[in-house]
Amino acid sequence: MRSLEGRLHLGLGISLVLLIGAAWWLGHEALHHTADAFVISRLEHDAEGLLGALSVSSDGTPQIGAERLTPVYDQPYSGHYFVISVAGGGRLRSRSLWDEDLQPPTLAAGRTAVWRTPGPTEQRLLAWVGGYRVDGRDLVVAVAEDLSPLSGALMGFERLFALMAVVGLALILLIQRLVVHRTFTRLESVYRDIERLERGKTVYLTEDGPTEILPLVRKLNRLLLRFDQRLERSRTAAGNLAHGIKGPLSMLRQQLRDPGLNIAPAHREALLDQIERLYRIAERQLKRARLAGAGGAGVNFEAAEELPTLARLLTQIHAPKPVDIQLDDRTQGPLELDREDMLELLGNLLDNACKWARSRVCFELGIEHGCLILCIEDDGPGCSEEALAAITGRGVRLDEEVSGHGLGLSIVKEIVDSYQGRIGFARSARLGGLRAEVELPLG
Amino acid sequence: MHKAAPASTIGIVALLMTARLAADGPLDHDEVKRLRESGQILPMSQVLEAAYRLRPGQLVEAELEREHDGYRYEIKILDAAGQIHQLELDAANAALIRDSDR
Repeated sequence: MRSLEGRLHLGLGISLVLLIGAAWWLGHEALHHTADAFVISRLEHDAEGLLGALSVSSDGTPQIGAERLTPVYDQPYSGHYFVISVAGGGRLRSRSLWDEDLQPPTLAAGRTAVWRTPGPTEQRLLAWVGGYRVDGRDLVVAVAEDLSPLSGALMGFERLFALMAVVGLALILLIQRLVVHRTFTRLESVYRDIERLERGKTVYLTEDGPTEILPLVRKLNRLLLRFDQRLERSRTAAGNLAHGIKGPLSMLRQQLRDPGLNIAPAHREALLDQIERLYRIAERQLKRARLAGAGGAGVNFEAAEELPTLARLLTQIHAPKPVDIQLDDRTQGPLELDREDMLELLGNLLDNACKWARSRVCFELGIEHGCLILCIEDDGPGCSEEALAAITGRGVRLDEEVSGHGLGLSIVKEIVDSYQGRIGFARSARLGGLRAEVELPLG
Repeated sequence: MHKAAPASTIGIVALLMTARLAADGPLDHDEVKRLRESGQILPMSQVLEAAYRLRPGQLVEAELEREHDGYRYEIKILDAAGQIHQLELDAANAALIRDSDR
């Protein structure tokens, strides 16, 4: 059993069943014992009354003064009976026994016993039997009463008790269920925080839950903090490295360009080419570190939040050229894409578009068949057909500058690849410039 | 003649007893028990069953009477409405002879 509620129910149910069962048994015993004791004390009194009126003739025939008897012993099958049996002599039955008889055990004088026996018409009799010596003869007096009416009343009471116990048990289990459910709804704040964490709206979980799960929440928060710090550290390290190698790379470039350096032109070009590549890698890392900004680990990208800022930033970067970036965002809420990757991807594509645009850039964002579709167009000069073919063709290294256009799209390509997406370039039918279309699968 | 005297005495006693037995009137419970044990009458529980079928209720009094042609139970039953019903049933076969209310 894995459910906490199930375990609680089972535990409580078993304890209550045991407790109620014990109470029921105790009550049953106490009731019957008391009822029997009450009946027996009355029977004993009746037996004493009989003895007072009893005489035994010399031939052993018991006789009784009829006026001393209560009428219930005369009424046939009344449920109250007596039998007097003289040892070696006669017997005297109450009239109530009518055509039936009782056979009480034989007891020596001075001995008494309680005796249970079936009676007429399925009565259940409780009898008090005493051995006596009257007028020089041993005899046994048995006085009996039918317990059926009393048992009926007791049984009714016990049924009521059982019914109340079952209803009470059900009620207690129901209350526990409610309590457990209420407790679990208090966990909701933690669930909500986990969702917010996933979307990057928060960096830690609330500690406003039940105390029992507080240690778990604290442990998670510590872990989150540590991951965040680790990420920050590696990001800083990458940024520092990139920054650090840019200086020496500039120096190398300058020294290589120095005409006084005695080196074959082909070698010089090859070396400069490699230095350029290193320089670009460093640039990319720096840009990455800058764009990352705030936000925890694995923060999801939310277009509505990021795009206006990005557009404003790019407009500022390209001032004084008046570039109007038209945003058409048809997505809602956070997307299952990493915020930093998206900022880098969009930043590069938009930066490129702004660089080449005369005054207008159109940016559309929408979701189709579980894919995010990005479409960026500009009204710049665009690319020649050959250049388009070159940058869209398979196996083309986008980080190589395409004839005169300076499309540094290697980062874009790298990110699109990491999401198993596709990127394509074409001439913009609307604005006349370049149209870049990116398709990224979500989830 | 000397021997005739006890015989006649027995005869008289027998006659007296028969006369007493033949007389109408309730029998005491020891006689009822003897009659039942000898099989001349049914146990009262069986007679009661028949009576309860006719008049459900509670037995308050029963008497066994000797009639010239057999034995007859006179049974009083208290029903749930508080009414007393008096039934007469044949003690040998529990057949209804008379219902006071019909």
